[in-house]
Order: sequence, then C-alpha cells, then structure tokens
Amino acid sequence: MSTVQKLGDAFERRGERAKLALMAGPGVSWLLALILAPTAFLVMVSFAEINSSYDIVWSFSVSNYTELFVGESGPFTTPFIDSFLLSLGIAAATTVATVVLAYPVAYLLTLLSGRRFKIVLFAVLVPFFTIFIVRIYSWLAFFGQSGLINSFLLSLGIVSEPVGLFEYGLAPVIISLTHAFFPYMLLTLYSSLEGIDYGVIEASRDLGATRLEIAKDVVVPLSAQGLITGCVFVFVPALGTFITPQFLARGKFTMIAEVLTARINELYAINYGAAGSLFLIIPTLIAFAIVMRTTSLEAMG
Amino acid sequence: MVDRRQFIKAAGATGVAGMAGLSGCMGGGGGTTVSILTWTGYDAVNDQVEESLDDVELDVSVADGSANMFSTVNAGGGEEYDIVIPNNEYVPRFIDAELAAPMDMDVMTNFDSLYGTFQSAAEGQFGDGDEIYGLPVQFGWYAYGYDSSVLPEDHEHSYEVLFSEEYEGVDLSGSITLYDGYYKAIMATGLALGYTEAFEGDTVSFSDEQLTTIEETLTEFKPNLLGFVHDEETLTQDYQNGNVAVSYANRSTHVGIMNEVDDVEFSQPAEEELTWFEGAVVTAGSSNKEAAFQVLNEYIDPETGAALSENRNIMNTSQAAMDNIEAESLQIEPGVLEGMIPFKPAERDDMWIEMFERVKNA
Repeated sequence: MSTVQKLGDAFERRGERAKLALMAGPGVSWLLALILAPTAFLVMVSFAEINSSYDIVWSFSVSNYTELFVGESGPFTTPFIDSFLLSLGIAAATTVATVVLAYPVAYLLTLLSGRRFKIVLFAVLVPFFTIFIVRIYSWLAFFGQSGLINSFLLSLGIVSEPVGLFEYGLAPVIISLTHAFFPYMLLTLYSSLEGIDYGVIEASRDLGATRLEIAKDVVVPLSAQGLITGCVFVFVPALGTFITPQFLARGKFTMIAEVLTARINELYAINYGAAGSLFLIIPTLIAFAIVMRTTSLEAMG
Repeated sequence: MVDRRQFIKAAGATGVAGMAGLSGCMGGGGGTTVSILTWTGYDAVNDQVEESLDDVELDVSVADGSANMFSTVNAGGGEEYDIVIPNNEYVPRFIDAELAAPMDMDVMTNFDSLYGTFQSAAEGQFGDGDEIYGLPVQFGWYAYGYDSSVLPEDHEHSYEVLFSEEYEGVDLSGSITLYDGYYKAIMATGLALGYTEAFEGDTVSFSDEQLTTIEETLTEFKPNLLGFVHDEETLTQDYQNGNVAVSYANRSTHVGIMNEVDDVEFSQPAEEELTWFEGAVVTAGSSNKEAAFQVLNEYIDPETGAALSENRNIMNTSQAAMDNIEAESLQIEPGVLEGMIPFKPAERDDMWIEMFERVKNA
C-alpha cells in the first residue's frame, strides 16, 4: 500500500470518528449532565451529614446506611426494611397479576387482524388515556366499607357485612397497580408473541400436545424474552410507587417511596433519602441485568 | 467546604444576572418587586396588595413545606426572597440562624388589631431581646370533624373519640381517620392520653415512657381506623360515601369538607386544640425590607386579610379582618383562642417519625 493510500485511509478513519463524535456527542453530554452527575451527587450526599441548619456537611460516614438497616431491636428491624420488603412483595404480586391478565389478551391480539385488532386494542388501552390521579380517585369509590364493591355484594345478599378484602389496604393497592401497569406488560408480550411462528404450534398440536402443554412448552419459552422485559417494566415502577398506596392504603402501611418522601419533606433528611434511594436502585439494576443477559433489543419491542 | 449554600448562591447570582439582562431587554423596570416564599393561596390577594401599595409588585412562589422554606433561605435564598412564611414552630429556627430581620413596627400599623393571643405569640415565640422577628398572619387549629348524623353534636367532645371503637353508644369501628403525619398524629394521641405537661416548654417533650404508651395506643387501635388521611378531597369523598364518621385534621380542611357535606361538624375538645399559625419573616438578606414590611401589614389589613382568609379557608390573626368575614364556617368558636396550644418543635423528631413508621407498618 502506498503512503498516499495509507494517509487517505487514516483521514477516512478520522472522518468516521468525527462523524460518530458529532452524532453521539449530544446524547452522551445529555447522559452526563442529567443522569450521571445527579447520580454522583446522590452518592456523595448519601455519605454526608446534614447539620441542624440543614447544611450538607461533606464527610464520609456510613451512618445513613446504618440507620437504614439497624434499628432499636438490632439489625434489619427498621421501618425502612419493613417497607422495603413490603414494597418488594407488592411489586412482585403486581407483576404476577399483570402477567396472568395480559398473556391471554396479548395472545388474542396476535390472532386478530384488521379492524377487530384495532377495536380490541383500543378497548384495552382507552382507560389509560385518562390522567393517573383521576383513575386513582375512581378506585377510591370502589373500595371501603361503603364502597361500590361492598355495597353491591351487600345489596345482593351475597355477604351480610362488608368484606375486609375490599376495604382500603393491600388488595386495592395491588389491584390498582395491576390496572396501571397492565399496558406495559400487554404491549411487550404482544410484540414477543407476534413473532412466534404459528407453524410450530400447529406442529405440536399435530403431534398430540394438549393446550396446556403447548402453552407451557412452546408459547411461554418462545415469548420468554418479552415476558422478562414486561416483568421489569412492571416491577420497577411498582416498587417505587408513591401515589397509589397513599390513597388506597390510607396510611395503613407505607411503601418505600413514602418512607423516603416523608423523611425528606418532614425532617429534610436528604442524606437518609439519598442512601435509601441508592438501595432502591439495587433491585432495579438486578432486573435490568437480567434483561440485558436474556433479551435482545428487538424483543423489547 | 464547598457547600450547597455556596453552590446555590453562585447559581442564584447567575440567575439574577440573567433575569436582570432579560428584564433590561424587555424594557422592564420601575417599582419594587417583593418576592415571597409561602403556601398556596397567597397570590389571590396580589392585586389587592399591589393596589394599596404604590410601586410594589408581588412575586409569590409556593414552597413544599416549612422545612423546604428554611433550607432554601439558609442555602442563600435569603437574598432572592424578601418574605418567607413558614409555620410558627420554624420561625425560631430562622431567628437562631440570623436569617430574619427585626420587624419595623412603625410600618406595621395593623399589628395592634391582632388578637391578643397572637400579639403575645409574636412577642414570645418570635421575639428575641427587644425585637420581634415574625408576624403571625393566618392561623388554624387541629381537632376532629365528625358526621353529626352518626355521632350527635351534643356528644362529649374529647380526643378520646379518636381512640374509641364505641363512643356514647355509637359504633365508630373502622370509620375513624387520623392525620397522616407523625407530628400531628403523635401530638393528638398524647393529648388524648392526657400528657398536657409535655406541651409546656419551648419544645414538645414526651418522656420515653409516654412515647412508648403513645406507640402502643396507636398500634393497638390501628385496626379500628379507616386509615391515616389528611387531604380534603379524600376526606370529602369518604364523608360523602359514608366511609368515615370521625376525622382528625386541620380546621381549614374541615371547612372545605363542611362546604360540601351538610352533616359534617367540627369539634371543640375539652383537652383544647393544637394551634398553628403562619409566621411571616422578612429575610435578613432582603434589599426591599421596607416594602416587605408594608406587604406584611397588608396581609393583616381588615379588607385584604379578610379576602385572604376567605380564599384560603383559614382564619386571620387580625380581629379586624375576621370581623369582615361573614362565612359561618370561618367563624372562631368562643374559647378557642384562650385555650390554644401552639405548635412547637418536637424535641426528638427523628425518634417520633421512626415510631410513626413502625405504627403504620405494624
């Protein structure tokens, strides 16, 4: 290769790099300015102290983390841990409920086409065009001793006194969250199910597989990537939910976001809030790591 | 130490420079702009205040609570805001941090029209030496509201109602709400248990034994509660749906509910009411102090003060302003001002909040 040709290649490579830098530069700057910098600040504050004048005293102290985990009765007895475990449970229950409800609907959508497809999709998604807080207020009317559900059951004589399950607390929160995050699961499952070659299902049917076996051995494995993605899309926001429990749990328990908000708003304990928020990131990172290892970008829809 | 204060000062200075440049370009200028950091509803009387004061414009910002107001001013916002209006228990904190300017009593011509209780409060809780650093502007109190079609009006008014499954023959199980906040819920429980001596000092100071009893009381009674609720919309819906019979919350919250639901009344417990008032402070860093004091004087003016109260459903500390209010729900029941227990900082609020979290998760 001649020197002139080498120089030409080198300029071409530099030109490519310059183009790439030009294209990626704004995005990378955006990430640095709005994601990495605040996260770095969050990490720093989580190790700092707040004095009585609400100033940040920069130091390296793990006391904020200790406060999260060590209570009066020993390690892992703090309200933070209780709320964290409860939030994990609620997020898990919400995820399972959305899977159970969204799978058949997503499967139905793959079987429909044209106008029918559009009508079913519209019917499923139209409630989500309303503002979130309006939907929460609607749920408020359904629950409680004198809520619509209990009143209906009482009027039909099915029960003789209000059913505790339909009073404000755990069940209304999970039902409302399931309703709120249903589209995330539905759309990711649909995009995954739509890619399945239905010849495989036909073949397994010809070979004598039952409907349950087809679902278990063919449909679920082939849509696993969408299922995992959908689970993350539901689990992560459900874990950090704030408004729903405030209204529908009526303060009878506190999810983790409520604990952190109360500490910050009422005591200005931003160092405690930062430490708690970082701890809350851990399950989120684990969930995303699972997705990245198991799922391609195409499968995420 | 490069602290948050320095950072916000620098950011604030840049912002101010930018805004100055912008206003120059837009041809703005003339008059004094008084910046106020406060609660919602104050902007409703902006026009009235601006009409009364020559060349004064108001710029009202809403803060997310008293702690947020203090941290903003402490971080350098004292030069950005001329007036801050936190709850009364936060004013001593402003004074201690030297963030409050002494009031110019020559400008505060309406001060004498304040109820005696609030003149004393200004001289006491807001005083330091011979100076007064804060002005009580609006006030309210905490007690319980009730559905009079369930619990008759002539029942014996006491905080015991809040912790009774049955009261004077009325079944209240599952239809009581307590305030969703550690400070108010714990103080109400303390009053119901008769711990009035804890409210006597500069802080509210329950003993360890009393705090344990308060926690046990709240935890044991929690299954009988509808929940911890304090927002007006939710409580209104609950009263309308018949979910709630008794609710412990702010008087102004209940004024809103009473406007919507006929049978709801507000109690006057024998143990007295916990009273809060908004304490307006002119910041030490303000460069518009005289105009700021004029604005404060307007907030307790007979006409402007009345309009402010009617807009916010909160009583005015000025008797002259209250005399101009006709709405029945905003009238002050006899005896309330004499028996009021003013809000004071909790002695160990980190312990209180953790206790409340334990109660809620129990």
